[in-house]
Amino acid sequence: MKFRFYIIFLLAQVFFQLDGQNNFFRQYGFADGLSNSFLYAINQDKEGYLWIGTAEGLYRFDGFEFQHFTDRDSLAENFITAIYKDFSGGLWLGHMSGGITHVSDDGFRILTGTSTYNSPVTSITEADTGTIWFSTQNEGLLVSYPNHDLIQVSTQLDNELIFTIRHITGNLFLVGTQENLYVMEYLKDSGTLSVKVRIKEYPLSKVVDILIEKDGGYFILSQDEGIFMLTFKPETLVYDLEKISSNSNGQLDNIQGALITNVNEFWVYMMGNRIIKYSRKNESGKFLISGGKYE
Amino acid sequence: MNKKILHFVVLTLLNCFLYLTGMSQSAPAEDENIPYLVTFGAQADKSWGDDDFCQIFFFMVPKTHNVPFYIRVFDPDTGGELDEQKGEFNTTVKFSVYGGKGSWSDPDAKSVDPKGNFESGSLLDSKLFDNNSKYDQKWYTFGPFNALEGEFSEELNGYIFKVIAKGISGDDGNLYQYFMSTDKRENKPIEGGNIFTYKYHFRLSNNQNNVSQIYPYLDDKVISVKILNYDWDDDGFIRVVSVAKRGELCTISEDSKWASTELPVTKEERNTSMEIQFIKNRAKLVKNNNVAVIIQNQYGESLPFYVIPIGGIPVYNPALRMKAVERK
Repeated sequence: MKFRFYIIFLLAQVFFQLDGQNNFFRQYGFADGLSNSFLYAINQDKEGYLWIGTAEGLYRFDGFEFQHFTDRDSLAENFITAIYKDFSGGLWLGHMSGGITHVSDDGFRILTGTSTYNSPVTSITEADTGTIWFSTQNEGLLVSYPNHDLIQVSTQLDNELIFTIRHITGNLFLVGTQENLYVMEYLKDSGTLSVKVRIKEYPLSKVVDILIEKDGGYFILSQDEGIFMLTFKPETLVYDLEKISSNSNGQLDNIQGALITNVNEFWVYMMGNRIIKYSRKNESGKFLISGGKYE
Repeated sequence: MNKKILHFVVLTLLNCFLYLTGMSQSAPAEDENIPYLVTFGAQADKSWGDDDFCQIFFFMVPKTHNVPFYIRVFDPDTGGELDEQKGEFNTTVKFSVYGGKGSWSDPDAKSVDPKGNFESGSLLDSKLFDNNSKYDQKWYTFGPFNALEGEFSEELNGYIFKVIAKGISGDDGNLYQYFMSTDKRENKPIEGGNIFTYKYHFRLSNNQNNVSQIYPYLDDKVISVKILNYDWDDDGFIRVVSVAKRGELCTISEDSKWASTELPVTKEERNTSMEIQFIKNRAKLVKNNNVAVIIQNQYGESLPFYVIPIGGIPVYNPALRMKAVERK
C-alpha cells in the first residue's frame, strides 16, 4: 500500500498553471476542510472534481471546498488505498480490506463478492474489453465485468505480494510485485493469470507504480532502484528495459508514485515531502531532471 | 523563586522525563539492561541460542496519535563489530512491517512458533539486509506510517503493528535494536506508545556484574505461569520478582534445550507486571550468550513482555507475601 502524500503538493499541481520552470505550490489541510492529513490515493473525474482517498473516508474537492464521504454514504470501507478512472469516466475505489466501491453519476455502489477477501487493493487497471482489474496484495486479482460480476483470478505468484497491475493489450498485463516485474497473460479457459516473461533485468526492488508513456513505453517506478523505461512488443514478447534515472545518491529513495502531466512533464513523489520533476529532452527522447526538486 | 529559575527547573525536569521515556521506548528498553535483540541466519546452529531464526515484535501506537511515526532499526545489517560472526559473514535477515486486520489478532501471530499464518496482516514495508557497511551501527528507518494502518485493539486502546525479523540465509547472528519514533532521523518517543513480544530472543551482556530483566504482564485471568528459557548455557541464574515474589529461582536450560518452571500467581499479582531477572555467572565468564524466553499462562497461552512494564516495575511487597503464605 502506498502512503502517498502527507502534504498536498499535487493538488496545487493540478489547479495551478505550470510554466515548465516555476511552480507554485499551495498546501491544503485541516483549515480547508481536509481533516485527514494521511492521503493514499488521488484522481480527477470527468467533471474535474478531485477525489482523495484517506484512511478515514473519501473527499471530493471542487476547487473551493472538500466534501467528505464515509461508509455511511455507502462506501465499502472508509480506508481507501487506490482510485482509478475508467475509460467512461467512472471511478473505482479499492479499499484496505479488499472492498471495492464504484463511483458513478448514480452515486456509490459497493461491489458484492469482496467480503471474503481481506487484503488491500493495491492497484486498478482497465482492459480493452471494459473489464476492470484489481490487484490485491495477498489474494491475487479480482476482475469486474461490465455486468458487475466480480470474480477472483488466481496467479502463479503464490509467494509474491502484488503491488501494481497495468493492462498492455489483449490478454496481456504488466504485473509488479515485491521483487519482480512480469508480463502475464490471462488464460480465460483456466481463469488464471500466467507468467509469459519475467523481466530479468529488473532489480530486486518493489514495483511501486507503472505508468503508460504516450509513445507506447511504460515508466516502471522501483522503490529504491530508480526509474526505468520498458518498451515491449506484444506480438514477439521482445522487450527493452532502460534505466532512465538511477538512485545512486539516494534522491529517489522510497518512491511512492508518479504522474504525467498534459504538458508532458513527469512528476515523481517520494516518501515524506520530496517531489522531483522530469521533462522530456526532445532530441534524444530521454528524460532528464529539470525544474528541480521540491522538499 | 525567580521566574526564570522556575522556568529552567520545569524545562529541565520535562526534558529528563522525555529523555527517560524515550530511552524506554526502544526494544530492548533501557530498563531491561539487555544490549541487543538477536536473530540468526536460517542455516545457523541452534546451539548458538536461536531456536527458530525469527523474532516477532509488536508496536502499539495510541489511538490518539494522529501524526506520522516511524519504526527504526539500529544495526540492521549482519556484519561489522556488533554482530556475531561465524566464519565469513554470509547472512541475510529480512525485516518486515505488517499492519491491518489480523496482524496481531491472528492466533498464529501471537504463537511462539513462527508457523502457519504468523505473517498475517498487510505488508506495509520490508527490506533485506546482509553484510553492508552502509547500515552498520546506523539506524534504518521504516515509515512514515499512519496509526490507522495498524490493527486496532480496544483492549490496548491503540493500533498494533508487527515487525518480523527473519533469518533468510547464512549462519551469523544479527544483533539489533528497535525504536518507535515520531521523527525519521532521531529517536523521539511516541507518548503512550509501547512495544511488546511473546517470545524474546536477546543477547546477554558480557559484563559478569550485569543483571538484565524483562517484564511480562499478568492479566486478570492468570492463576499460574510457566516460564521457559532456551540455551541458557550455565550463565548464572534466572529469578522472578513481583509484588508477591522476592526472587524465586527458575530452572535454567542447557545448550540447545528448553527448561521450564511453573509458578502460582496470587490475586495481587494479577493485572501487574512480573520481573524476570537474568543474573550473570560471576564465577566464570560466558561470552556472547544468546537466549530465548517465553512465559505462558495455565492454558499454555503466551503472555506479552512489554518494554515499558504495565503498571510500572514491580516492587516486592512483604505484606502481600505474608498474605500469600497465610492463605496456604
